[in-house]
Order: sequence, then structure tokens, then C-alpha cells
Amino acid sequence: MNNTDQHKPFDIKSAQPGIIPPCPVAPDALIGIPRQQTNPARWEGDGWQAFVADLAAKGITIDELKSARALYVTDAGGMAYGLPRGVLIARSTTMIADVMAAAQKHCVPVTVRGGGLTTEGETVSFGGLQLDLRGMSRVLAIDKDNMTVRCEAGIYWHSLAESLRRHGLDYLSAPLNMTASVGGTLGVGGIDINSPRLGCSADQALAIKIVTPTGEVLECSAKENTWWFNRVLLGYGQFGIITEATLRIRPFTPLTMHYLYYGDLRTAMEDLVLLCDEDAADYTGILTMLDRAVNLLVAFDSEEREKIFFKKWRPRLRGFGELGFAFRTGAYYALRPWKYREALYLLDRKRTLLPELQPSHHLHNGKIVDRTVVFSQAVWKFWGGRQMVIPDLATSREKFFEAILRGNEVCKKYFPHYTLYCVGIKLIGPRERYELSCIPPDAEGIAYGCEFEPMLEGKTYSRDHLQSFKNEIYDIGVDMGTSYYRFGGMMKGYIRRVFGDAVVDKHLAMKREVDPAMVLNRDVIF
Amino acid sequence: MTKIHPYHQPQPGATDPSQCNGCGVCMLSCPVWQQHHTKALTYCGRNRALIGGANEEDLAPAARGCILCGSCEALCPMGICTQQTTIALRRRLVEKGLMPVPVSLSKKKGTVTFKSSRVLLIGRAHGSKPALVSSLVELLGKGFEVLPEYGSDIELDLESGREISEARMKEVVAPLLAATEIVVSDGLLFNLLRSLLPSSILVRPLGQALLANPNVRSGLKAGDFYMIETRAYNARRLEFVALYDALRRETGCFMNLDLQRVATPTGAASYHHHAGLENIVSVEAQVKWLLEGRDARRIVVEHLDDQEAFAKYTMIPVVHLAEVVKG
Repeated sequence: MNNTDQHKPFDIKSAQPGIIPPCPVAPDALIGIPRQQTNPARWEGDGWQAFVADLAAKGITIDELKSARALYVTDAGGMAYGLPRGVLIARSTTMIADVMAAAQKHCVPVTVRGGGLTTEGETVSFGGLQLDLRGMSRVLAIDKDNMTVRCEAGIYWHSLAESLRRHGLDYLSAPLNMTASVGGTLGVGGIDINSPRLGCSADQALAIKIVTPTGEVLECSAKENTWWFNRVLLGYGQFGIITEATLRIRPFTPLTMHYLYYGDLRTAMEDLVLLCDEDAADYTGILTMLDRAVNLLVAFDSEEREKIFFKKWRPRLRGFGELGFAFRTGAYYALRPWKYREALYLLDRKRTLLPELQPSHHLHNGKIVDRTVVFSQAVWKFWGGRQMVIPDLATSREKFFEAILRGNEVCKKYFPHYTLYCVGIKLIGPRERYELSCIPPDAEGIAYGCEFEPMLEGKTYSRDHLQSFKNEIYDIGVDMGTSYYRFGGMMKGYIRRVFGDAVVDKHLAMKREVDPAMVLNRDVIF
Repeated sequence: MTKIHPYHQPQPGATDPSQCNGCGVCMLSCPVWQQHHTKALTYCGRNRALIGGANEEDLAPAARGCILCGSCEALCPMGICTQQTTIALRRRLVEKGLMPVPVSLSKKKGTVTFKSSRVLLIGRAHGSKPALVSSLVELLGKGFEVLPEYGSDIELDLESGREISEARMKEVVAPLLAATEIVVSDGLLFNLLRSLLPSSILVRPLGQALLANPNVRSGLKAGDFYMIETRAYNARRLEFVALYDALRRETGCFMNLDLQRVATPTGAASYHHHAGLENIVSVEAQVKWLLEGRDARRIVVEHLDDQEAFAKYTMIPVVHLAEVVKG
């Protein structure tokens, strides 16, 4: 690049959805440097008063008090900060329909929030209306004959589980974090440790009621309004707001859990793939302490499945029991005394974390009664914090090993301590549902995902450091052609790079068609 | 004498909202959340609002609405003392005139003397039932001296955010230093005494003390819905949960414990109820939720406030734990 090109002034155009514009502050400052997407520009507020007045005429009051808006200043990631202009706690589908019709008319951005567990600011409102779906948290009907439940979409999985348990029932699959809402989960996928068998949570939905961006109310299923059904599920909130859902359920069963330990990440991943390919366990996933103590978890709903596993599959797995692993790891560090700090970290982690994964008050006859409660509490206790940085890669089987091993090296480069969480995701929905989602287009049968979770441990890291870490993980995805779970919000700069113009432009065209004012969950994808 | 650390003045930093990472786990068992699904009214919501720039004055509705059941404290992964923090907030709001303090709550008694080293502190509810109190003493074993409404004024003042003088606190606590065992019926008073008295003095909630009697345990049966007093249990959930899990296995009864093993309250013990204040937690809705999907044939309560609530809103027989003894 010559100097003339380097200082050629940019022709700054107004920002169009889908295009990252040059930096308006110093347009020549970032030449040659890929611009990092950070907080979107704050919405200026044109049309707000008319919007509020229109809704007030319908008996809907927007809360504009600072104390109400302040609750939504950030999401679980704690990296993106913004204030909504007003807040509304949704109480009915009709109310949401009225809101969207008015938002469309007055071009007011609406950002929907359930549990707010996004990490890239996807549920943070930068001006506009924050619509809190959790005001719709009722269980509407439990159908034991057909094993389904109908619930409002703002409900936390925990509250749903609580109601189902009273009837001896359980949901099929949900994130290991019970402050996730049903609607939010269906909108992005939802991965559980039983996803290798049952697919993602969104694939458990039999029907959904939605409000379109223009305020139309639709009942959607595989037979009715099918286009909407498959676009709203895993649609990252772009094509509609889920207000109710009918989900598959099952009889509740406590589960038996076993841990296999590995000193080598690749070996554990190969065994995970074997278990997923062969449907050898009801639940399976990898949770690591660095890449030195790799834990392959297997769990079973029934003794029959457990017996078959131990007879047929356990002999083929290369993981050790706790004692065998402790002996080998002890020997490893005895020969490498300069790594004593790492050994102490692993010991401390084992001492504090492992008991929390098997607390006696959640065990009955050696079986875990409330797996999601146990994992959810451990997640917040050991990985939670005011900031959560969790870049991820979602790959086909063929790319899984290389992508995760490369990601592991990035973790080592940026942080002294980290965890990897790997799962398989069975593909049971139609392909169009997975387009522009965490399911990579080249995955067949089962996709694999890995979260790279640095342990921030109360240390202060600059935003640059954390963003660079995320970028470096995501660059692996661009390089290898994978997908991501968290590609929206602050990471949306990667969307075109990884999915390609054809897919993105197709979705942008669909978005413009159903959301002419581009007001629903603005800045998440487009 | 042991130095008294006012329960309503938590350690420095404990009221710092930035201690809260906003995970929202505390909301999962919160009855206010369960009924209203409005984050601003929850403990987590209060902290997020403060971090986002709200003033303490803005939090008055949330502070007033809390029934201090302690469910959030049992769940907080950061170990925040939410009950104490809420009490401290109420106190500051009362000082600013933003929270009403019912005059009727201030029913102070002078210094009380007692002879036994084992005392039973029955609160305002139990005091109205002399026959029940006799049964309690009998079931707890010989040597228990009953102190009706001992410390009840402090408990109520704590709950309502009223200033409690150090002199009054000492007046209540100092005599108890001579005791070896104290059984307390009201959860908040139990929490206060457990935090103030040395560990050499055995301080137990009434329900747990009664369950130590095998005749009481054998009076429970499958189909009983056992209502744990929530304030004491939730404050020390990990300490107490094993006892109740064993009881459930032993008797087949089921309890007001949710998936997190947190005790769900009726809300009837709240000071709103006794002082005639508006309570955003509907006791009727709580009772309905507690019994939803549960085939209860009898309700057994540890606290009389709960007995009154169930009797009012259900047709299912309700008895106190002291009344289940066979024969």
C-alpha cells in the first residue's frame, strides 16, 4: 500500500444495516486495520414521544424512569453498556403486537430481553424500547397424554422445571443455566449435555406463537406458517418475538453421572466424538481445567443404558478414573517441577469445584436429582462474574479437532487459567432453520461446539485484551469455515466473513421484507 | 460480655451493590419474582438499578415489598448477606421517611429474668395458644423455660427498619448469654441470635428442636405437606438441608422445598401481615403455588403464621408440628 492510498479520505456514507461503516471519528485512523465492532451508535430518539403516546392510548405505559431503565444497562457479558429510552414488561401477546405495530410506524427500535444471558450486548438497548419478556412467565397447559407443555416464552427454564416436577415431568433439553428464558433459548438454539442425542432446545419446540416485527400474531409449527416457524427458531430474534411455545417433555428421571479424566485434550475429543457417533450415553460433554485435566462427562437416565455403556463402550475409551488420573498427573508434574503453580491450580480447582458438581443435597441414592440446578449454581459460582467472555467455535465433525486445538492455544496465549466446554449437537431440524446459526453449513448428522472460557478471577483485563482474545478465536472460524454460537452484537463484524455474502444478503432481504423499519433487535445481526 | 454487632448493620462492603454480578440466580426462588415477574422488585433488580445509576430512594418500593424470607440469600453464588442488606436498606429509607413504620410494632418489654439454662422463645403468634405452648415444652424435654414474646419487639423493629438502640439490644441479648440452649420460634430472631451469641450456646429453630424428638418424627406420614419455617432455614440452608432430606426419606412427607432446596414461604410471617400494611406478596397466591400439583392430605407447619394462612385458603387439615405426636 502506498502513502497516497493510505491517506485517501473515505467517502463516509450513512450506516446501512449489514454494512460496517468506516470510523466516523477519525476516518483515516483505521486504514489497513480491520475495524472491531463495539457498541452500536445510540438511537437518536426521533418518533419516541409519538410512539409512547400511541401506546398510552391503548393503555400501555412505557416506564421512562431512570431506575427502571438502569436495570438493563448491560447483559451477562458485562462488556456492552447502553440505556434504553424506556422499558416495558410484557404481559400479553396482544400487548407485544401493539408495541411492534407502533414501533414499526414510528421507527422505534425494540430490544427484547429474557434472561439477558447474551455476552455481546445482543439484549442491550442503545436507546429505543427494552421489552422484558419475563412478565410472560406462566405455564399454560401440561398435556401428559401427548407429553407436551405450553408456556409463555419469558419463563425461566427453572420455573418451567419447577412446575413440571410437581407432575413428575421434565423438559427434554435446556441450557445449563436456569436463568435462561425459554423464548431466548429457542431464538438462538440452546445447548445441553444431551444435545448429542436430542439436538438443541429449539428443536424441541413443536409450536410457537409469535409476534412479527410489524405486529401480526401468528401460530407457527411444522404444519402452519412453516416459513416463520423455521426462521424464528434459531433466528436470533430477527424475524419475530416468541410469546408462547409448545415443547416436548418427558417423565422425570434422576441421572447417574460418571467422569472420565484425560491428560490430553485431543484424546478426550476423539472419545467424545465416538460417544456421540455411537449414541453411547444419554448425556455427554467435555469440561476442562486448562488442557491438562480434561473431564469427559457421561450420564444416563436408565440403568440399562448405563450397563450397555460399561459393557460395550467404556473399554474403548481412553480416560482414567479419578485415582488413576491423579497418579498419572502427579507423575507428570513430579517430572516438571517448574510447573508447580499449574499443579497447585489444578489441585485447588479439584478441591473446590468437584464437590460442587455432586452436592449431597442434590443426590438421591447416588443419582443426581437436579442436574441443571447443580450445573447452573456451579457455573455462576466458578465461572460467573461481572464480565463474562465466552467466544466459541461450532464446527463439523471433520474440523472439530483442529479448530478446538487451535482455540486452546489461543487461550494459553491470553490467560493463565481457562476452561473449555465441548458438546455435540444432533441435527434434527430442517436445514433452513440452521442457516445463519450456530450450526455450521457443512455439518452432517452431528455438529460440535466448544466454548473457550477464560477464568478472569477478579483480575482487571483491558477491553482491548478481551476483544483481541475473542477476535483471535473467531479468526480461526473464518480461516477454517466454521460457525459460532455468539456471533451477534459486538461480534457481528464476523458474520459476513464467516457466512459469506450470499447467505447474509438473503437474510438481510428477508429481514427488510418482514421488518421494513428494521426495528426489532437492531444491531444484533444487521 | 460478647460485643454486640448489630444485625441490621452488616459488615462494610456487604451493602455494596457491585458485589452483585447480576446473575439473577437469587430471583429463581424469590416469591416476589414468582408473583410479579418484575426484576425491579427483586434483590438482584435493586442492585442492578443502583449500578445503573438509580438512587436508594428509587428502591423504596422494592425494599418495602420484600418479605425477608431469605430465599435469595440461600442462592447467591457471591455469598451476599441479602437479608441483612435489605434490613439495612430499610433502615436508611426509614430514616429518610420513605418507609412507614407502624407504631404498633414497638411493644418493648423490660429486662426479663429466667432461672433455667434452657429457654424457649415463643413469638407473638405462639403466645396466644397456651395449650400448644405446654405441648411444646413437653416435647422439647424437661427444663425448658418459656419466655413469651421475648425479643419480638426487636425482631419486628428489625424487619420494619426501625432504629434499635444498642441498650435495648443488650437488654435482650445479655441475659441469654447465661443460657446453654435456646429454641426460637421466629426465624428472624433466630438469625439475629445465631449471629450474636457465641457458638457454645446451642441456638435452634423450633421446628428442628421438635424434630429431635422421635415421637414427633413418627407422627409424620406420607401425604403430609411439611411447611418449614423459611427465614431460619434459608439463612442456613446448607446446614439444615440434610436434616429435612432425611426426614423426607424417613416419613415420605413432602415439603416446601423447591428444586434449589430453598424453602418457599407463604408470606404470612411478614410484618406487613401483622401491621396491616399492603403486601405485594399475596399469601393466597403463595398457598396456591405451594400446593399446586401436590396431593397433600394434611399440612404440618413449624410456625403458627403458616397454619393460619393454610387454614384460611385451603380445606386441607392443618396442624402444628407439636400436634402430630401419636397418642
